[in-house]
Parts: sequence; C-alpha cells; structure tokens
Amino acid sequence: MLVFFEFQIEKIVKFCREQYPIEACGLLGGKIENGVKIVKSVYFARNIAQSESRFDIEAKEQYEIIKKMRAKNEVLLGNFHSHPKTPARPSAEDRELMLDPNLVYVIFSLKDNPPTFKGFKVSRGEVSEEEITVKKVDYKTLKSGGIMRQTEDGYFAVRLKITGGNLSIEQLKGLEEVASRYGNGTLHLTARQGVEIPYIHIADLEEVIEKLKSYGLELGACGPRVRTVTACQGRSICPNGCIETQELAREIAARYYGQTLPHKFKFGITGCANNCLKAEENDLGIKGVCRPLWLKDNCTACGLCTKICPVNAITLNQQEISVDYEVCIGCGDCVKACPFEAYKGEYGYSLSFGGSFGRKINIGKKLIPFISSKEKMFTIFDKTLEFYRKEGKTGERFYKTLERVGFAKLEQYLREGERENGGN
Amino acid sequence: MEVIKTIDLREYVCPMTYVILQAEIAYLNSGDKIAVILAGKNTLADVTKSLKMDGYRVEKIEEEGEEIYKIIITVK
Ligand code: SF4
Ligand code: SF4
Ligand code: SF4
Repeated sequence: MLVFFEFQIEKIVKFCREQYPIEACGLLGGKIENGVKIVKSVYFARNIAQSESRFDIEAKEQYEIIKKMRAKNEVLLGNFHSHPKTPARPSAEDRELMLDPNLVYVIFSLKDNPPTFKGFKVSRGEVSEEEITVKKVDYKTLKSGGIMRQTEDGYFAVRLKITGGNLSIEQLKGLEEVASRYGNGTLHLTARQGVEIPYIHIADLEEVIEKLKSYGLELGACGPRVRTVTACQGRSICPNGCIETQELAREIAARYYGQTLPHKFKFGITGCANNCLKAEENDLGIKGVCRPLWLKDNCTACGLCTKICPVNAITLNQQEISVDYEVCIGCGDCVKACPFEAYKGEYGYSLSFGGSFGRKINIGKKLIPFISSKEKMFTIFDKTLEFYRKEGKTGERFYKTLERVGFAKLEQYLREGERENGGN
Repeated sequence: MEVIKTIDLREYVCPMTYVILQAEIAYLNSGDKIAVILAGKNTLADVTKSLKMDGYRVEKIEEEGEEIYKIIITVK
C-alpha cells in the first residue's frame, strides 16, 4: 500500500495541469513502515522527452533528487507521471519502464475532472494495481493539541506542555532525540517558557508523540484554552521570592491546563515585586507580595525604612510608623532591611486580571491586592474561569470581556463566591 | 565611640557597591565604627538588606542630600 496526504495530491495535480499537454513526472520519497509506503516528499522533475505520451527524467536530475532524499532520511518509494489525455492505465511504454519490484508507479490522469490516479507495481514481470490511501489532514484538531502547521506543506512545529519553564535532564534527552531524528536538529524556545520542535513531518507525528511520551513529555495546548502556566523560580531558589512559584504552577496546570474557554487564557506567576515574570501580561497574573506589619515595641524610629521604600509608602511621625497599603507594592524591602526586626512580613499573593500582550496591549488590573490563603485563591481562579465562560463571547479575549461588562461585575462575582465559601 | 572612617560609595552601582564595602571592611578592626555614603534609594535598600543578611546592624541613617544617605555601622 502507498499512503499519500491530501495536500500532496493537490500539489501533484496542480503540477500536472501546469505541464499540460506534456506529461508531468517526478519521484516520491518517504518511509516504509510494516510494508506500508508513506510518502513524505514529492519531487517534481523535468520531462526531457517533452512528449504528450511518454516521459523521461535525466539521470543527473534523478541523482540530485536521491541525494535530497538521503539528506532527509527518506527512501525512494516510486515515481509518478501524468496522462494528459488518456486514462490512469499504464501504456505499453509505461510497462516497459516498470522494472523495479520495490517501487510504486503512480499515474495521474487529467482526462477526467477531477483528475484520477492509480498506483501500479510489478512482480515477476507482471504489472498489477497497488492500493493507494489518501489521508486527510485535520489542521484544526492538530492545532488544538499543540501541533502547528508550518509554512512548508507537510511539516509541523510540535509544541510541548512545559510548566513553570522547568525541564528535567531526562526530558531534554527526549527533546534532543526527537529534534535530531525527526526534526531539523533545532528547538525553539517560545516567549512563554515553552519549547517547540519544528520540522516534524506529518508522517512521523504518531511516532514522535509516542517517543515524547516515553520521556515524560506531553503536547501543549493551542487555541481557546488555558495555556502554559509560566513561573519564575520563586522563593525556594530566589532569595527575593515572597512565594513558592513552581509548585503553584504545577497545581494550576493540573487543575486548569487545556480547559476550553472563549479564547486563550494565560496564567503567569512571579515570585515578588521585581516581577521577572511580568504578571500583568497574563489574563490572570499572580505575584508574590509581602505585607509589612509594624511592631511598635521593636522600632527605634531610625527612619531607614521610610528612606528605602521604593514607593514612599512609609511615613514616620513622632515615633509612629504608618504604612499606606494602597501605595505599598509588597516588595518586602522594609522587612528585610529594618535593623531592629520592627516589621513582621506576612506573605501572600496579589492578583491581576485581564492582561494581554498580543496585537493589543492591556495591562492586567490588580483587583485582589493581597490574599494569603492559597485555597481561597484557587476558589478565585475557579470563579474567574466560570465568569469568563459565562460572560465571554466566543473568540473574545478576557480583557475585552472585562471591558465590555465592566471589571466591577467580576469583582462582584468574586465577592459572591467568597460569601458562598464562608466569607473573608 | 567615634566614627573612624567614612567610606564614600556614591560612584559605584550595585552589585559593586556592596563588594567594595566588604573589601573596605576587611581592612578594619572589629569594633571600628564607620560611616558609609550611598547614592539612590535602590542602592540604600540593597546595601542595608545585604548588611542585615551578613549580620550587621545599621545604627543610624541620615539623609545628606537628595537621595544621598549616610549610614553608620560597627565592624564585627
Ligand atoms: S520575580 Fe522575584 S522571586 Fe521571581 S525570580 Fe524575580 S526576583 Fe526572584
Ligand atoms: S527601619 Fe525599623 S526600626 Fe527603623 S524606623 Fe523603620 S521600622 Fe523602625
Ligand atoms: S513592602 Fe516595599 S513597598 Fe511596601 S512598605 Fe515595605 S518597602 Fe514599601
């Protein structure tokens, strides 16, 4: 059996029509799996006979094509030629040229519209028909599963599910193997901590997916769903971190990744006010923050904290410190620098909603400045996605929905959710 | 106890500010009181956080001018 993909047939038919009334011809390269020949590349050639009933490819050109096949790890599967005015049946002359029992000879007839095609093989001098299967390519379904069509027909960039930008060495080995064996030996790092493997041929997709799985790598999500959860290193690695980010990223991914919504939806987690991960770019941005609680008894009124606060949120007035929490960005510098331990830092999350950094830029709005309970935060996430599903129109980014219905509506929805969950 | 040395770090930027300060401190004796001059809020925050992490206590802070700070510490 010989397997074509739909776009290859379209390409060949177009070429045959262009050559009309001369016979068009070319070679087919690909791979053989359990006796099934799968076409990966179609190589057009010049018919040096320039005849309406006969074709011939120059030896030099054949050699050039075989070289190209070798470079792509393909084997010669057979050839094709067109019959501009006669049916897809081998002529006496064609039969004389069908000599190799390992090859399939495909004839495209332009006599009918749409054109027809048949495959032939030869065994001990006998020519018989070879079954041809044409596979459809469902680009949309592939894309939703993280497999994106490339400019070049038949090739795809495979996007992986990576959470918090972390990969194990074992996974890297899998990437290395797949990219060098099936791709073009490169990997692409996406803007959101993802990895894509370009130049994967459609004929290799199933194998590639299996291989990746064996290394603990899953395919990513595209389209209108919850995307890769990004995160910086966070508290366990970065000394500035106010929160643990990597575990949180995995928890969020486990709970929401790939869920369908009106449009794409991105979570991003940054460990502190330094904002290395740019929380406000995301539909839902999470930032680790510190809330400084002043301990009067320890304070010597030295004034250091008032001078280092980057947003001047601290004032010292007659031995009394006051922190303006509306202004405070939660960087925690006052807590870390106070020489007399006169602050207790309470750590938590600050949440921003409706960020987007695509064609239109929108900075996420900080609706929840401080929340310390992770559990309650997850209730907020649940409610937010529920709200978007309910209020968002198909194809509408979250910020657009928020602009249309008003941020206040989401705030109210979240408050109601809080009450249902026992308040505060 | 009197300040025996003033180290002016205004021309440095982080992280060099703290590196130079550490190098200066290495030549001093335990118990020496020193003044350090720093420029900019960020530098002040970074240096004071680092000092605290290394076990120093800022004893006094004065604003010498627009975002120019003088801090007093005692060498360990
Ligand atoms: S955002 Fe904060 S915690 Fe995260 S890497 Fe940057 S400095 Fe570290
Ligand atoms: S730095 Fe600490 S001791 Fe000094 S004024 Fe601020 S809270 Fe008080
Ligand atoms: S946490 Fe940062 S922003 Fe908030 S008061 Fe302290 S120094 Fe200022």
